[in-house]
Amino acid sequence: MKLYPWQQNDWQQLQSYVTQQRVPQALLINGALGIGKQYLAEQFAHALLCERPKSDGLSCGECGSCLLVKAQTHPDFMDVQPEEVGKNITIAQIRALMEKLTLKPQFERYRVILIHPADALNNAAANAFLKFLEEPTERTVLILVTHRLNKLPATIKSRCQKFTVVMPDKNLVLPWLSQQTNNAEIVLNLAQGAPLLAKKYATDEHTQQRHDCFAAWLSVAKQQSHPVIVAEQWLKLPEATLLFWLSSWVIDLMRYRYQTAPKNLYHADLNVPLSELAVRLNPIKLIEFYDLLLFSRRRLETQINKQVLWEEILITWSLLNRS
Amino acid sequence: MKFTINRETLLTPLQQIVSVIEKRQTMPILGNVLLVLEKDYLTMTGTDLEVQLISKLHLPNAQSGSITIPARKFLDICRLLPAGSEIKFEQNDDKVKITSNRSKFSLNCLPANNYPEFNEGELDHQFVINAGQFKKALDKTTFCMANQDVRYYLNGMLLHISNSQLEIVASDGHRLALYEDQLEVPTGFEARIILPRKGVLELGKLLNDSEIELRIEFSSSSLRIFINDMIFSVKLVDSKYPDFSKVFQQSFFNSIHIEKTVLKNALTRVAVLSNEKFKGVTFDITSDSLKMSAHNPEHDEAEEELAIIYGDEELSIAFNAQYLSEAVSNLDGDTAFITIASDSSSCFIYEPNNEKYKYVVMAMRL
Repeated sequence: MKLYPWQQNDWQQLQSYVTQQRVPQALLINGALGIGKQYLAEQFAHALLCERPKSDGLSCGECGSCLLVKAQTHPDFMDVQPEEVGKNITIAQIRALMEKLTLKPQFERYRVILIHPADALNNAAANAFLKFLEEPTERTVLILVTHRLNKLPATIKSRCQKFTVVMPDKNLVLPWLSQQTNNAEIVLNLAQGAPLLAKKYATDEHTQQRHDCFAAWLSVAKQQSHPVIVAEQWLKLPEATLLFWLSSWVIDLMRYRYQTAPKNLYHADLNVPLSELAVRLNPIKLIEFYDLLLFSRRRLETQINKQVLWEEILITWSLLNRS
Repeated sequence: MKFTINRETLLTPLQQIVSVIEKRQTMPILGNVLLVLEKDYLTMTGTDLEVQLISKLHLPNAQSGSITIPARKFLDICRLLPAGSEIKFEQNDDKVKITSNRSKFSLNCLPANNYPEFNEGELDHQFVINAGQFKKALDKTTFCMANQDVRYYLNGMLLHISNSQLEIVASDGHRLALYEDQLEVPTGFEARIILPRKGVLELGKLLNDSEIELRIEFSSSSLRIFINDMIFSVKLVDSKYPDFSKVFQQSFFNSIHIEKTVLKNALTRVAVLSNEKFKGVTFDITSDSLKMSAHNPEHDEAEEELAIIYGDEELSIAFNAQYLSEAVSNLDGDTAFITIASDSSSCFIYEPNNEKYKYVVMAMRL
């Protein structure tokens, strides 16, 4: 088992818990999206279960325990996640988990429960979980992973030991990312330094989609496409990503106004059309538009009609360019 | 792996193993039975991660190996073959071929090293007990265990061993069953463990032969029982059993002597008109009579009077009729002794000349 090159420091800290025999009963791993928290948590869990960990503390991948983990049949490893992507972790799942936890662990080593994303615990589930989080049964370690620490109830946070994974150093990430893609620097900027997110952004499909959307956005600005039609096309795309692109373009536009160096931009590859736009637009209106985007990000988690959401954004954008 | 086995030899142990396997499992491999053939022994294992049953069969001249195959399908195939048939079993990579006379079956398998077996290592404590004695202890107490209580330690049974003293306790918080007996061979240790409900129920089904000696091994996390060619394992409940000793440390009225069947039948009749949910029945006791009465929210009333031997001060107390009659029916003799605590909080039910087991039922406030 191997770690990503930028995870050595975090791993050493986790490892020191083991060597000092002070593994926390509940560990809350938090940090930005796309920097490998989940992977780190899994490696830590596997290492706690492994019968013969390697000298650096990582799991061996060969012992009986590791084989069970690989086959996803390890009885002392429980992985709790939403049943469908984007949905909540329900109270029924937590109750089923608790029922299993009333019995002793099957093997001699730790029993590990991995909950991710922890912010997906709904209110009832989180409350049902509190008592156990405070006093877990014998040899049981809970690992919660989240990139949205603020969404967790204070009652959960206060019962866990927080472990913050910081954004990795660019110099550690770039050599690794260059092996994965040709335009490492561009995607890393776009991902604001998060390596795994950058890797995802580097796929052709993703780049193509981003360019297509940008073209559509630009043509709305030039009054060449109708906002309602573009809104309908955008319905098929992942909303959160699209909204991130929109806000990053607007941020870039504002940066252009103040002649920022290209390396500080999100979309260094789109600098020509962006700089042209930047000259034309009214900065105050642009900031109002940015406000709308931020507000929309919060609205995404509600039951809002997506078509109407994109129409509102695009019509505002179109009007902004007309004035 | 390759072997031939007679249907009758295989069927009984396989049925027992399949009964342990849950119909709906969280992991696909738990729906399988693990077959290991080595040193002329075929070992079959089934588990639901709470209990595990292993059965060993002597099988000479076979080619060794290990695999897991879908348990229910395997059982159905063996069950539906004609009695006495020879079953041929052959493994090819991840497929298993089963042939018998003109029937041929091919089953998909999962690798044996993915199977989450219980640890096989030595456990800390051991003792020996007669199967009939142990079965009786379970029978007398099982019905008092709680079912799906949030106090999860009550969904199980306390096994307390103190040198040669055996104590088994089950309680759901309203009533309690206590079984005490001596072990023939002193163990030299003291231990308290809680067996989970499912484990107790499964174990009860396996103890049919009352003559054999059971070897029981346990540690702080699991318990293992050797029953003839089978090994039954169960994970223990991770908690302490509540302290129930206070219920014994109080003063009591004289005991009430009453005929078991008379009491039971009267209770059943009176309980018809009690509150359906709480089943409360009031007892008005004088020195030689017991008046039972019940009423329900519809204002129906029932009353019955029985002759008893008591001879202490008059008192009035209420009980859940179901709890009381279940406890009484579990007595072996014809006479029941009921002793009521002097603060009217509970009663003890036991029989004369038998100190091994007794029941406690808490009183109700009506």
